[in-house]
Amino acid sequence: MSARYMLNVLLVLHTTSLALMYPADLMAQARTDSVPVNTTASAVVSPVGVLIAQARGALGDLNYADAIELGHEALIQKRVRVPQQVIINQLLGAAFFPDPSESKTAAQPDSAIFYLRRAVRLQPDATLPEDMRWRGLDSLFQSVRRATFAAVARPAPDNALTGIDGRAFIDVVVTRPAKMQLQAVHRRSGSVVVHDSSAGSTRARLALRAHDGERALFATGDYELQVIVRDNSTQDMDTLKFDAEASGIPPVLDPVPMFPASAIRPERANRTIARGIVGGMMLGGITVALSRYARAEEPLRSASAVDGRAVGIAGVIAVGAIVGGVLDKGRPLKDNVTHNAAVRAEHARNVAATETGNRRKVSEYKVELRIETEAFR
Amino acid sequence: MSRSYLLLAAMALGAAAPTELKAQRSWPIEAQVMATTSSVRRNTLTSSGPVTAQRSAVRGLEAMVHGPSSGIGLYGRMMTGELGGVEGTQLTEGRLMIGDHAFRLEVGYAQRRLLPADSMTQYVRGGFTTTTTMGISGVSVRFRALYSVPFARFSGDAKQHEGWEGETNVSYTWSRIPVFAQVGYRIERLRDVPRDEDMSALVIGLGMWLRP
Repeated sequence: MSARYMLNVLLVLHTTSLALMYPADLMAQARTDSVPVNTTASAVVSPVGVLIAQARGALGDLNYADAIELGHEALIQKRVRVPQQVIINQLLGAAFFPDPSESKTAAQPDSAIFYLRRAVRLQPDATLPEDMRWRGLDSLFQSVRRATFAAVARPAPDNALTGIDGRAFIDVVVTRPAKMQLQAVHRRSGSVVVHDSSAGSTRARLALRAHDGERALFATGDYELQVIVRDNSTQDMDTLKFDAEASGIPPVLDPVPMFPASAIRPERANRTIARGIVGGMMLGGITVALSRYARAEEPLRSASAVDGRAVGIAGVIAVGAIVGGVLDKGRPLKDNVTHNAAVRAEHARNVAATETGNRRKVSEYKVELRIETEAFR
Repeated sequence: MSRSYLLLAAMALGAAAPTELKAQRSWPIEAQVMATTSSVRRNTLTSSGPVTAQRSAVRGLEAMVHGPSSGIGLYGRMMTGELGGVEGTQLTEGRLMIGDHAFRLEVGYAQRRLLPADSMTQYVRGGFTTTTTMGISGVSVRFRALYSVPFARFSGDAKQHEGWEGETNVSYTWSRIPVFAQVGYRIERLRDVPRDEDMSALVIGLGMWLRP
């Protein structure tokens, strides 16, 4: 067993461990009831892993042409996982931008920037592996990171959502402060439900809910989860999409009883404007008539004068009655007020009972949500 | 003058009553007590001379109590003052009422002074009273008509003629306290052969009115 073979084996193991750091980070941010990413020993001996190890070996040997060739070969392999893509692009960036103190190979900064930008877009918070780093590359990588608007979202593959409060979370990392929105698109109906949003940050934890209290946000079916990020300053936008499959039968909520408006009785009697006008005019007329015709018979009637004050009093009575009718607001009808209070109380009890039952149904609603953790744009 | 001050003081008390007092409070019975002052004009024709016209102010006190559930109530009135040169009680009256707040039948007894001033006559009265209340504005209007039959008719004195009385008034009851003021017109005709008379009066009253 040659030293070169031993070095390759060590690099494979190192590369694999770096790749595993990615899901490990995911697991740390996922819900405790999520199932961790299944990592098997087969990943260790995958062709891509071997190619990456060989490329890193070539880079370590300052053999940049071989490193570039092996990196390109690794990229065109099938089933290249995102963490592996990140490392390959970083490796290619490093190979195109060697340390001039160690190599006489001319640097190709444009090519290096191209691959480093791809690495940043795949994983904005990734750092350069220690074996690739040197001061110039670090500076170039930081510059590319600042100039590239990219986001990455890290959902857990298996999620259990319960009611309104039992949520699943998706961590999102962006290279620049951005507004973020998490929405679910139902594959069959095309309906879109916005679950959560965040503004003005580079990291956010967006939540998914099973129910919003009025309607189920997930039911059995296929969904596309979309994380939309928009740069606060440049308005650049990126959308990360995840396939998801939900399993859950939404509860049938009882309709909230309508208020029985027809059972409500008037709580005040009609205003007495008409009564005031008619009563005032009648009583005023009666007053005048009394003063004219209710007097003594002859000969006293002719011998005495009519009491002229009756006309003034009649006016006072008529005006008083009319003003009273106009000012009247309607007499309170106590029986109706009591009846209406009872109707309102009964309605409130019915609404409360319905809402309590509905809340219980919602709180018991569970959805199993399986998310494909590989994003596509 | 003193009565005017009393009236003004009572009205000021009513207007200044604290607003915390419950408005439109209801009571188990209807009760009314009222002090009145009447500007009376009386025309009298006697066999001994020409028509006598008299002007005077008469004080009065009226009280009423009525059970809304039974529909039965009592009414009393007394008027005193100088009329026809005689100072003293001019009228005493009591009536039994049957009905509700809006319409009541009334029957009762009355005694009043006539000319010559030292004579009194007794008679039975019967009639009705209608009261129309304008919702909760505090305004009520009332019309009363009473028919009078002198007691002498029951003892066979056919010369005695019947008389009658009519009254209209408007009143306002404060919403915060059950004080009310009233202004009205009253006319009364009574013939006691050989005398004949009619009497009209402007009646102003102030009192307390409790309503169910």
